[in-house]
Amino acid sequence: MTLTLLLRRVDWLLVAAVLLLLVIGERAVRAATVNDLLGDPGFFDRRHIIYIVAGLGFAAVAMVIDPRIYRRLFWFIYGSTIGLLIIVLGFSAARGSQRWIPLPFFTLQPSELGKVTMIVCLSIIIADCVRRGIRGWGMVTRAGLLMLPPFALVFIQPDLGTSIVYIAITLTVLVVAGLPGRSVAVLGGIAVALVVLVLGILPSIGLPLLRPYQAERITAFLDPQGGSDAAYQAQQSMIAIGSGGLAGRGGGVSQTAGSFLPEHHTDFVFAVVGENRGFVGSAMVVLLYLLIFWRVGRMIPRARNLEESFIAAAVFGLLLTQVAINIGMNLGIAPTTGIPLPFMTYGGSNTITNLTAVGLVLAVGARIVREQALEPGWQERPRSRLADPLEVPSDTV
Amino acid sequence: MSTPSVDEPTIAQPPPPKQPLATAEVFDRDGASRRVAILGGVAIVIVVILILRLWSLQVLDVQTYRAQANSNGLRSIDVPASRGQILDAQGKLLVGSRPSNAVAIDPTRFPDLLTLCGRDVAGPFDGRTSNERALAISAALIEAAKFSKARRVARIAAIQRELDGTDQVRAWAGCTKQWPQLAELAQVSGITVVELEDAIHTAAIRAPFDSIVLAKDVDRNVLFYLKERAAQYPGVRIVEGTARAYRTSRGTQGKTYPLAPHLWGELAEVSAEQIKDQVTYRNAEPGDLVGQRGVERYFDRYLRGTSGSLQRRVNAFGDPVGEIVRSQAARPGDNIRLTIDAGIQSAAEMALREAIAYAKTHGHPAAEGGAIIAMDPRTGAIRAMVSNPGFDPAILAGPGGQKYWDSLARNTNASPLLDRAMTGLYPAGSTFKPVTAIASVEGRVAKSDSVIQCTPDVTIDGQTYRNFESGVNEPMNLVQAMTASCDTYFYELGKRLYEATPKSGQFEPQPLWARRLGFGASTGIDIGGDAAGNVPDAAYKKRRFGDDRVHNRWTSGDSILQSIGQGDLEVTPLQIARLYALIANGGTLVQPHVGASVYGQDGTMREKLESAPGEKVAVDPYVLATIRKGLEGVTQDPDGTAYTAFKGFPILVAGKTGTAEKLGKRDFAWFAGYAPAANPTLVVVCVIEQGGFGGVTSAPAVRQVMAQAFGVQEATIGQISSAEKAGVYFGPALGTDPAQEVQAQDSTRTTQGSTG
Repeated sequence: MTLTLLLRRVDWLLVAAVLLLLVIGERAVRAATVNDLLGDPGFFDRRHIIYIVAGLGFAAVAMVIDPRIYRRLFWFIYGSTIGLLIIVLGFSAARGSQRWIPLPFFTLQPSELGKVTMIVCLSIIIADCVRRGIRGWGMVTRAGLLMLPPFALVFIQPDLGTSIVYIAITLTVLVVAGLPGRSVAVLGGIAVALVVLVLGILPSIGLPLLRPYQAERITAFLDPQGGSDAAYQAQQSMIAIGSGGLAGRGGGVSQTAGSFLPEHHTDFVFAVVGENRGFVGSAMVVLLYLLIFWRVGRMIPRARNLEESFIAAAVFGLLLTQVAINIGMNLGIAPTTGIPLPFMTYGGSNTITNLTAVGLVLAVGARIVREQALEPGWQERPRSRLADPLEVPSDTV
Repeated sequence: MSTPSVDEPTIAQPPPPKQPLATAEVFDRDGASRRVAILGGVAIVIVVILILRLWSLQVLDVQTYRAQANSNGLRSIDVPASRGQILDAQGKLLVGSRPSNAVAIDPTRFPDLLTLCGRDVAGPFDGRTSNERALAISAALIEAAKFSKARRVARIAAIQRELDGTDQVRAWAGCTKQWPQLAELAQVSGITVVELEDAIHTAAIRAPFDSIVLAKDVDRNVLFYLKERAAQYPGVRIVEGTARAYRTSRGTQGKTYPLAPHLWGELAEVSAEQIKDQVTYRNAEPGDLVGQRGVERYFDRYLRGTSGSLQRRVNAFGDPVGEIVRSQAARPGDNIRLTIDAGIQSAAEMALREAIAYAKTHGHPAAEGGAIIAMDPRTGAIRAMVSNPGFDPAILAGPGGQKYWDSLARNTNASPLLDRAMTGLYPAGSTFKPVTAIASVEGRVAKSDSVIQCTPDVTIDGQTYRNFESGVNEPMNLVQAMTASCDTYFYELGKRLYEATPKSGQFEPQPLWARRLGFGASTGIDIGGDAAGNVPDAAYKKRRFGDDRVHNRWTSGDSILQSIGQGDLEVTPLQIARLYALIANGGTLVQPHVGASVYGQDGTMREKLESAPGEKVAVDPYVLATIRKGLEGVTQDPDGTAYTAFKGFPILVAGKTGTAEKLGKRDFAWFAGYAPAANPTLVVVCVIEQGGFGGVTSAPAVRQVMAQAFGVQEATIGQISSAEKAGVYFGPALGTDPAQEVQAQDSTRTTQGSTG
């Protein structure tokens, strides 16, 4: 597949939506952090732009690489992800959890990286299940065996938000792979039971599985007037968004720029848009995400093979979960779980992760086989490095 | 999202040589599309929920949230108004303001402070004693300090909601022991560690997250030191303000002393009680500095001004960000012009000091306290008011003010805080004799020209009363008796006044007239706080002695002692000044006042301070004329008791000496007089506690004040008094003090009550 062909086939609507969100996010990060460091209003903004550029680079690479290559690298990808998640536990805790590996210029958050790598691994495993006709609980078990180690390692960091995202990705892929509705219902039931167990029963019998602040964050949105940190943040976020009104109050206003809303450039960056750009701006952001969901969702049944179909499904689940929970917590209707808003939240790891995920679906989208896309040269030039038709080694399944 | 399925194998890899077509059967596109449609539906539902929620927050509830955001992010900062100046009658500055800076710390910027001061207690605050709560809160603050900036803000906000602002105080105590930096800060600020802890303590009670003022009025060097090392002292702020500055005067030995310290009164933050007093403290708001006594208090409503405010955007830490949203300029306080004349005041201060010094070195070592009042007899406008010993109001307004105040208050011996001119209670002695004369004539027990034999002593109702001057035995009229201060003349009047008192005790001419002439009640001076004094009468005796039938009645002894201003009679120098003003002005009891007018900062007069018009007292003009003649004789007649003191003074002064006796004390020296005698424009009263003879100690001081007031070039008190000593001298020789005998007799009688 030539680069020109690839570029012609890229879903430019999806690219445009993502770029627009990146710009809106960057503006919001800048507006929120101008007063954070005295004498250096652009400190966070500059770094954020560097992260975005790096993320776009990763996305471009992911788009160019033929996803079929990943099958060969399965164990390398899976092994290195698990390895990094184990290594990170050895580093000192920051803000109460061990999530970061300090590198020069950058602190790596393996759990974020894991979102992308696990998407790749999961799609391969589930594709094989489907091909071998393994449906229902057999598929759930295999997916579970694959996802349990990274999930557990992320959960004990503790990083509740990311572990929830892992579960959401898995469930989305399972649903798309054709998990019977009955099984989905049972899994949902188990999830509800787990929540009750973890938040209600275990602490009351003296076996708390969550740190107190985690439990508090999850339950705080039920009691927005309560005195907890999470409730305070949610309250301040709602004040910021609500005060934006229809058209917004412009930059430099108090609520977000004045630090009343802590984490204004990270978890609560949506509130900055809400305050500065009002209903018009924030609804536009939400609709841009809907556009992305549509563009990614329509790839799922069209992808040229099962792996790529499931990659699209997983990215769909990844984005939908993060958007729903993050904006929900900004609006005070979802728990404060520390999940970033894709493409907008400040930070290196999540920006790069989510853009890489977009690169993956762009790669999938560009390789959809359509009648009109079946150009004469498509098969005639198999030696193109990009279009190298790696054969699916079905014998490995 | 469901699109028409394409009749293609799912794994679109044509041609798929190794790809089993079976996959297509397992994973059919229609099924996948259906399931993806479900996902799409979920996404749409989520987006709709989010948009509806956005609509609800941003469109339906925008007012609520915008109001909350504004109360969050807009802060009103008070801009204190500069306090008005206090000027003298000529517009000379008496009390002004100077810049003063305070060192304060911001507790929310002191994570280390919180970390080091707390203890290891955690848990909810409910159901704990206040001490436990304090510890828990401190622990929470420590916890907060460990967090990032953002979480700390959230934590502190949560704590702020949790407590009512009174409890974490105890947790602060003892911080300095653990944190050498605080101790250093105390040292830099010029306060002790204990004072610093106290400052933190009290500030934390009032406003737990506000700046804590550690030291007021700090030196400029300290400010520079702290500003240069801002990084070393995080959260240390310099708060700019003003403090009062006072006029000083240069004494004879080149020493400077503060002018009229007793007049001004201190400034302090308005109390909850005071705020209710909307007359004195009109429009005062919590936190305003208001005058607590004297001129600062009674003209506070003019001097204070109206503080302005700035509305600024602030961040969650209270730091200003961005521009000023709204500002209301402070309206500076008005200047107040007093009737006090800085020149006369200064002369009076010096005269009193010199007179006391002279008395000390001339046989009256116990002389210490004293007062001088100079007043316009026509209007009651006070030109000078001095009380000794004094204090330095500048120190009181400075950083060590409280300590200084405590030391002044502890000095009950000299009572430097007592304004003796208004609140000093003294036996009036002979200066009271005009009251007796007026009461006698008005009470129809004597006439202005009645002649009574002035004998060395007189025995009434079995009690012998001696004349101060024992070598006299001649008939005298009122003029002569006043001039020579003949006690026996007035004993006789006292006896007659007693006899005129009906058995019922309803009409007592003497106490009645004493009251009419302004004794026994506050003068109503506009700066308040003057003492009422005491005029004994039948009711007083009954009150004091109750059912003691021997002592609880009004006797001839009471009347006779009162006739020469002794007994339980207590007067203030201000009341005496008023009496002599009445004599001088022909019968009007003036309203003493120090306030003249109010000027705006632009120099225009805003208000003329009206004092109540004098009260015309119906006194026979002839008796007043007679008294005036007698008082002129005091300084003019060689027999007059102040003849020497005023000898050679170019302006005719009329006055009266007094040598009042008080049990256990040496004689109190009085002089009360006015000048020019023909058309009086100034009354001056001087009293010196244990200063001996009035004509020797106090009269020269009055002369000195008058000299200044009338522009007469004069010798010092020492010279005047020395001349007196060398020359003709009326009365007992200094040192031998023959008055002692009389004093002993009178005092005994006074305290035991008349046995008559």
